[in-house]
Amino acid sequence: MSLLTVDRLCAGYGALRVLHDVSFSIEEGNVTVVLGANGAGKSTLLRALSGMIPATGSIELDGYELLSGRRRRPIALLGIGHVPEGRGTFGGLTVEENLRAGGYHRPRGEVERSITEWFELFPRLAERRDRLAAGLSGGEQQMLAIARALMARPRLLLLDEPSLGLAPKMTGTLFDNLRAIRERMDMTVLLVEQNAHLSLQIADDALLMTAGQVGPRRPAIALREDEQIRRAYLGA
Amino acid sequence: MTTFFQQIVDGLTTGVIYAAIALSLVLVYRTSRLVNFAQAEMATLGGFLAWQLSDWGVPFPLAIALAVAASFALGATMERTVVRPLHEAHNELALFVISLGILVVLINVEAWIWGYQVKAVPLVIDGPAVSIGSVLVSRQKLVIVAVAIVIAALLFVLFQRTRFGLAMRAAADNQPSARLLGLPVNATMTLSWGIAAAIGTLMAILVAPQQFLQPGMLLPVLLYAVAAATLGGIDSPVGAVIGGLIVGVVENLAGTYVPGIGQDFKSAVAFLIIMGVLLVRPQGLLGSKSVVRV
Amino acid sequence: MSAIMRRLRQPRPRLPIPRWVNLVVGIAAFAYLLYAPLVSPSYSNTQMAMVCVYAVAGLGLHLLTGMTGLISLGHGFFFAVGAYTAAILSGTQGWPVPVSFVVAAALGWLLGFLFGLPALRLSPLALSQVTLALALITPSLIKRLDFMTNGSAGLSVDVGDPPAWSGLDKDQWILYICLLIALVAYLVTLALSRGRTGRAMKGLRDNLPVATTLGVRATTTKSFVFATSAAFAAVGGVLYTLVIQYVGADAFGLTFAIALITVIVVGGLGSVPGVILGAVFVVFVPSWASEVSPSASGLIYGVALVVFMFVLPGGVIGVLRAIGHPVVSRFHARRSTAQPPVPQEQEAGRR
Repeated sequence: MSLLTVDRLCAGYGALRVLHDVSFSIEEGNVTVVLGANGAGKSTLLRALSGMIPATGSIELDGYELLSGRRRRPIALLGIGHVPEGRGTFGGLTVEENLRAGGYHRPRGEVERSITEWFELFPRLAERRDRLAAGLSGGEQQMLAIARALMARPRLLLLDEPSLGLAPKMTGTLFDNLRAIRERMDMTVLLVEQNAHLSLQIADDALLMTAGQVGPRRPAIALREDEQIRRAYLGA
Repeated sequence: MTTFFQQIVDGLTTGVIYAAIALSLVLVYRTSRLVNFAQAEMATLGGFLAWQLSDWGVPFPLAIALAVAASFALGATMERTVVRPLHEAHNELALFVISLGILVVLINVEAWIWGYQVKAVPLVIDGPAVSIGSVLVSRQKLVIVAVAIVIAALLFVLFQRTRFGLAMRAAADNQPSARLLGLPVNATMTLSWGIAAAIGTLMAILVAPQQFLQPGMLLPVLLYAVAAATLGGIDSPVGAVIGGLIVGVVENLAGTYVPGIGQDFKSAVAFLIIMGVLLVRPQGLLGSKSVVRV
Repeated sequence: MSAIMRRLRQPRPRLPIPRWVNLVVGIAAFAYLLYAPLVSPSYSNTQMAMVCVYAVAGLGLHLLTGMTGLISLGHGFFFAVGAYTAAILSGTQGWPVPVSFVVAAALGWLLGFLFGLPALRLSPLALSQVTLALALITPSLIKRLDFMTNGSAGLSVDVGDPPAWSGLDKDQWILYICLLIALVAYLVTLALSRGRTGRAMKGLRDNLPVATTLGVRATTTKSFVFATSAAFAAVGGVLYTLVIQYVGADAFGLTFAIALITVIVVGGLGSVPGVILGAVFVVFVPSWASEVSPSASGLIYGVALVVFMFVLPGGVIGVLRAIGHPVVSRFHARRSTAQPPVPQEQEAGRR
């Protein structure tokens, strides 16, 4: 069943239009990766989905149209969590406060329980719970940003370039962690990632994006085998 | 030696006032990335409101409460109407010019309504100065210090112990992220402006008997408050308080002991502090580094 | 409501007025200005001279704010330096006025450069903090230097008497000096803003990293601009002393610094002719307003700053462009009936 259905989505920055009639859908419970060259509009797509930039067309989340209505509600309340490019952690807040901010709209008891769960899953964060987020390493900040977004229990998680600026070893750990999270909870993820090799391993589906347009959805496993894709994105 | 301690204590009690206005500047800066040069004059306007109400026969405590509430509303309204559209457009030059415009408007509106004749604002507490050891402090100053401590404590509780305070800090830290998480960013901004204006007004009423209530009363204080906020870190509330106390003491000691400065030229100390801090440590004592990035 | 706001705030391109029209209008205006002082009452000559005073200082501030995006509240200080230089050198010491001009310009330039050395390393925000402080301490600094400045009492001077051969009254003679200096300042500003320096400055304003990569030396250009704009302000100060014949410490505080900013905001940030309109505004409008109430004249500065920045960021020039566009494009269309008018222009005209 499709959780998110996007139809003829157009968006951009001022006069510059980046997305041209983008249409696709993603399946509930799946990880869908968006692959594409620099400047293809991958981050713009996520920004349009989460309402950071104005867009036209249709974005339907589980049957609820996000682009209708005069004023868009905060996406966190609609069930979308967005981990932006560059992570966007609150550097001046402690690790724990970052998580609390993520759970702002949930009842206090649930927040406490979730925080405990996250600290069990990531002992690194637990050790640093009272430290300022600015003092964490890039990989730790990325995990914190993901955990913070998941504190709101989103139906759909948008992940923008999580491996950006991380050392290869950290990137490996990050994807291991993502896998661990998937095992713990059902989640639907739309992932934008430069590292096609790792992301195709974790993903169920893949979308190819070129020049502001999205191609048909394909199983990730098929792309892993596809000679052309290998050459274009995997550098093999 | 007694003079020295007296100078320190005098500096601290003055510094409390600088700290309070600096705190207002910092609260506003954190939400709107604007050093609001009209902040001190908004406070003076609040002082006039309190005087006017009490002149009409409203009991003084009630007049204070009404003036503070009105200032809160004025600050919040300014944020919602004029400041937010320009802040969202990242038009810092326009925000700066408008803060100057509002400063000039307020001074002249006050002058138009109330004139330049100094208004006698009653002391909240009267009586002989209290002596602590060999140092003398007036009762009104003790009240000012107590009020400042209460304000600081309330703000601490708001920021550190409440959910909304967490949202305020998160929104000040990284606004786009705060919006993505669905935090009530707009409400935090409006409230910050309201709180800043309310603090200023409360202080203006308390210092009015000694500073002489007239248009532009707090302009000299604005200079020291900017110095205090710069020294403490323009986005750090704790820094503003520490900065205010340091500036108060340094200014007072320099006026007394440094030859060539004297009581009339003390303001040069504030100028030197601002210049020096911005050059040596632009983020101030406790400010975050990101502020410095252009 | 917001649609109206958007229309008002929309930036307008320069009007496509032919060069010869500009030239003819300019020369006619200047000819009128040469003639007017001879037949105008003395108070109106003084007002015109004050327009020149604000225009010269405003052109300096325009160089800085309009073109580099930096803002300074400190130009009241440099203005005061010029004013006191003239009052002390030509007034107290009795040296000829041209010497005051040269010394004031040099001193303003030097002080601007020295102040800029540290200050220009700061962010625009920090620069506004430092210059605010400079504006607030200027009156007390002047009072502190009372052995030269005579403190709060100030200095009354008698400078700039017309030479006997001219047969002019003092107010006429001084207005001519002001007009001459303002013209020179105007032409220098035009040259600076259209030449190589102007392009470098606009680059710095719009995109610092890119301009730096392209070889614009940020610090050098900014220091040069800041020092030059300070020199303009100082020259404006000399004119001020000539016109008012008195200098006092309290004239050069924050209010004055804000008045200078009003000059460049009201006309239209970044527009050289706008500075002249802004100078006309700050001299005439408050004096009309003060007939209502003394506070009304100050109030009008503040309201103008808020309204022009918030609603009409293009300033008076922006408004004129909006009104003038349909007229000018129709004029163009009539002149070239053979070819159809440029569609883009037509659309701009309809808006």
